[in-house]
Amino acid sequence: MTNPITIIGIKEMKTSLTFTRILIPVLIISSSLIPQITSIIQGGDKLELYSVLFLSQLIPVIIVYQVGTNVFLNEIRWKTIKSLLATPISDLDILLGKGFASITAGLCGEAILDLLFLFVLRIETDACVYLILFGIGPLLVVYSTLLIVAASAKFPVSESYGKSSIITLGGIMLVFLLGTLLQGIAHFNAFLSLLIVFLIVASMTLGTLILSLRFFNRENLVITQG
Amino acid sequence: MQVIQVQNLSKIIHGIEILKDINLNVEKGEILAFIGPNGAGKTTTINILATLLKPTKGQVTIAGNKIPEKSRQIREIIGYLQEDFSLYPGLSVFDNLDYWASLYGIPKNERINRIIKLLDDFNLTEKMHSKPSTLSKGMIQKIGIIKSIVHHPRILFLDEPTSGLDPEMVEEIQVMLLDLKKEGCTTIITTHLLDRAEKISDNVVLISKGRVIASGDISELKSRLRTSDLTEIYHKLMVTKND
Repeated sequence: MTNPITIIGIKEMKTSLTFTRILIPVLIISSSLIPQITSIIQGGDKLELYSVLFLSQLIPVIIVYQVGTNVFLNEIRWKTIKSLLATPISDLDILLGKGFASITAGLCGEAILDLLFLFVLRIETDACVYLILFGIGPLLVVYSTLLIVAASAKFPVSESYGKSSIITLGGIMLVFLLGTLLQGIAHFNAFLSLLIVFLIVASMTLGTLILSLRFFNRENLVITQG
Repeated sequence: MQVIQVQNLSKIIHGIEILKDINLNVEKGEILAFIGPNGAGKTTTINILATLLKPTKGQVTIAGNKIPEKSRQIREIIGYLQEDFSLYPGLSVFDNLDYWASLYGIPKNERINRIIKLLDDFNLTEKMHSKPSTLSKGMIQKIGIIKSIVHHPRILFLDEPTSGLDPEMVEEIQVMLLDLKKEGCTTIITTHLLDRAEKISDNVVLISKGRVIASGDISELKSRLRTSDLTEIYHKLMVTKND
């Protein structure tokens, strides 16, 4: 038997994933970051490299946002939410299934970004680079997905769409602001400051998962549908 | 054997009392029709029975499972069709049905066989790979019914299943419901079509402004109210109630 998370996730990918929604923001951000990274590689400043690598993690996060932002709104718009809620699927399965497409798309973006840095731009690698690319980056994808799911579970209707976007974008900006601030003191110990960022994002991810479950309210979604 | 028991059910939404002291008992294999004007509380009742809403007051038991404590167990044995059912626009008819069936954990081969058979039963085989935008409202409604019975539910909740259907399609649904009844499936439907409700159902519940104004066997209601058909009973009671 296939897992309900996978079933919902695959359906989400078929109904929500469009190439143009992903490609345009990725191209805009990449075109501004890649020349910067090329010049930093030539300059050889490690701290500056970490900083740009960290900022480049915004690309997979934007993919996540583009894919996942309408998770519940679409179900209400398409009048399918009641049918979904009447199936014997747990709240957690619905939430993770809804996030599946965003996480998959975000991690694909992350993988392409890693390949670009490691094999095309050939940046000099060390523990900090690996921590950003393989630790903080993927974790940010999961965190931003759960943040979107939590926000859209709390405010599923189009009238509340502004509130949902503010929560999502605010949560993402908070992490990047925090990361940038911590990198300000990175000259003492770059790895330690990045590790702190990783641990903060990890605990925020866990907190967001708990919030998603708390915000997910079947009755609210049914009443919204009418 | 009673499979659905509702005692003193009340529901308040946004401060408005939608249902007031509803009492109901449904036997296994029974077809019960919920009849009432728009806003009477039919959909809210069905939504509570289908575990989509929680009762504000009272007790609801489905096949021995209480709502909301055992909602998940109830969802495994019920089929539900909402009013204004719709399909995922990006998926074909088959993919839509396969998605719903897979959420009930039906193995792939069995799912395919069941979907193909049901599409054939409803004369929709040629629409299997069509996108929802190319289908009529009646076809979508029939697909909704297939969706709600694909996992062989023991109890079926159909909210206005005949709305938007032509008489021929209504007839098909009627036959399907009677076939399910023979298999022991208990069904609750809401409808505005009084003549159909009379032909199809064993018992009726007439509801107005969130209250049950009459319920029971149609022939018993007829003799009690000295009327010849359900339409007369409905109008008699509704007019009395509104007066």
